[in-house]
Amino acid sequence: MENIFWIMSQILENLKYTKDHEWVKKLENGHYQMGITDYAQSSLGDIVYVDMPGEGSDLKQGSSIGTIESVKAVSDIYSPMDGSVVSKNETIGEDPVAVNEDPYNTGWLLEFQASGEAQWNGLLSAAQYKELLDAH
Amino acid sequence: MLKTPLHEEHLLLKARMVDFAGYDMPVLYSGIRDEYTAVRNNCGIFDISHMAPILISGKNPEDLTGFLNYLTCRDVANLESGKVQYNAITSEQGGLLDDITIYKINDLKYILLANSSNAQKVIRHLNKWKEEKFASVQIEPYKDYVLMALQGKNSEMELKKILTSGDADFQDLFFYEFTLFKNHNHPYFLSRTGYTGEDGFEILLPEKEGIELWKKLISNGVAPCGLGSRDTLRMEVFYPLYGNELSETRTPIESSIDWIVSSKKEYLGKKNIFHSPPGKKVTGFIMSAKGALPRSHFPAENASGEIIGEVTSGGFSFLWDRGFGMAFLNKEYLKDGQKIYIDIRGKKNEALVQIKSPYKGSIKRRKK
Repeated sequence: MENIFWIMSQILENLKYTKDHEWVKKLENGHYQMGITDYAQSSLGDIVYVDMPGEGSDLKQGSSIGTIESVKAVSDIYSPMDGSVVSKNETIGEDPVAVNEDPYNTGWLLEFQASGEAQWNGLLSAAQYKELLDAH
Repeated sequence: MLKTPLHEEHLLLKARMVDFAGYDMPVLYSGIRDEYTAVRNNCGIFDISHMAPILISGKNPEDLTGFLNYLTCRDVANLESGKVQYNAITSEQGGLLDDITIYKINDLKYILLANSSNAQKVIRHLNKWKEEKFASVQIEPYKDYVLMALQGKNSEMELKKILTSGDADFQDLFFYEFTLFKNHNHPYFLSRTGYTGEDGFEILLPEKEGIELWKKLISNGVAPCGLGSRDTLRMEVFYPLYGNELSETRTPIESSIDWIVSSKKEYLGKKNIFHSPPGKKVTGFIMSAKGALPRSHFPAENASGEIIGEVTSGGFSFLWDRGFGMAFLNKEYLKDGQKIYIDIRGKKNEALVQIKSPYKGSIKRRKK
C-alpha cells in the first residue's frame, strides 16, 4: 500500500538524477537546467515557498543551495554539480504551484553553467533513479 | 500501532498515513490545499475517533459537579443540559493535563472528551481523584465507537441528506450545543462543534453506524480530510493545540485561554495559576511578507535581536497567502500590529502580532 506514490512517480528518460531527488537536463546552449523530481514534489505535498540562489551564485555538488517548503515540511535543495547560476525560475518565486503540477517543465528551478562535464556523466540515469525509488 | 474503526476506509481512499499519538491516521487524501479548500468553501469530513469520550455519571448532581469542578479550571456548575463547554483539566502545579470538552446530558450524566495523546493520562487522573475524594462518581471510557467531524458551511445540508429528525434533532442546534441520537440506550451525540472556525458537527456513534455514516457522506461527495488540513484550519483561527500551545508546564493563562479560568471556584492547581502574573503569553502572528515559513520552536526576536519567545505552531496560510502561526512571547509584545522577528534558519523575518484571528468563519452562534 505505502509504495503507491513511488510506483506512480513519473521519471523522464532524457534526464539525469541525483539521490537527493533532483533532476538535471542538458540544454542546447550548453547550460544545464535542474528541478526536483515528481517523487520529491509528491512526497512534499503542496509546495508554498521556494528559496533559490540568484544569478552568479556558485554551486558546489552536494551542498545545500536553497530550501523548498510545503505546508507540512521543509527540505533542502542540493546542487547536482559544480558550477554557477545563470538564472532562476522567477515565476516559481511568485507561485510555486508549478513545482507540484509540472516538476519537469514549467516547475524547473535553476539554469546553471557547469564547471565540467565529468559530474554530468556521474549522475544517475533514469533507470538507476527508478531502481533507487523501488528500493525505498 | 492503534487503528480507528475507519482505518480500512482511509486505506481504500488512498490516504497517506502517519503515526499520530500512537494511531495510524490519515495526514492527507487528495492534498492539504484541496482538503482545506473543501472545508473553508463547502465541507469536509475528518476521522477523529482517536479522541477519547468518557462517560461520567453519578447518583447526585452535587457530587458530579463537585468532581468536575475540582479537576477543571472552568465552572461546570452553571452548564445547561444539551450544552457543550470548552474546559481544561489542571494539574496541581497549575499546568494543563488536557484541554477537553464537556457535554452535559443531564444533572447525573456528562461526557468528557479528551485528546488522544492525553487519554490514558486523563483516565488515570480521573480515577485517582475518584478514589481519593469522589467515590460515588462513575468513570467509563467509551469502547468501539466512531467519532467524526463534519466541518464547513454546507455541513448541515449534507447531514440533512442522510439523517432525519427520527435519528437526532440537529437542525436547531447552535455552536456548542448537542443532541443525543435516539434509539440508543447508551448516549451517542451529535454536537455543533469543531476545530476549524467553520460551522459543522462532531458525531459520536457506535462503530458500525459510524462507519455507515462515513461511507454515506463520502459517497455523497463530501471530501475526506486529514490531519494536515485540520492543523492549518485550526491555526488560522488561532485555536490552541495540546503539545504546541498547551502543555503541562504552561498555565492556562500563559496559554491565553484565560477566558476559561475561574477565579471564584476552588480547584486543583488554582493557587499556582494565580501565584504570579505570567511573564509570557501565547498569541497569533502573521508574517509581513511572503517567504520562508515559521515553524514550531523557531525563536522570536525584537528589533534589537533579543530573544522574546518562540513559535509554538507555524505554517502557511492559504487565507493570507503567507506564513503565520502562534508564539509564546514576552507579555509586553502582545499588542496588535506589534513588530516581531522570527528567526527562520538564521534569517530574521518580520511578522506582526495578531491577538485574535481576523478570519470570520461560518460558525453559527446563538444570539443572546
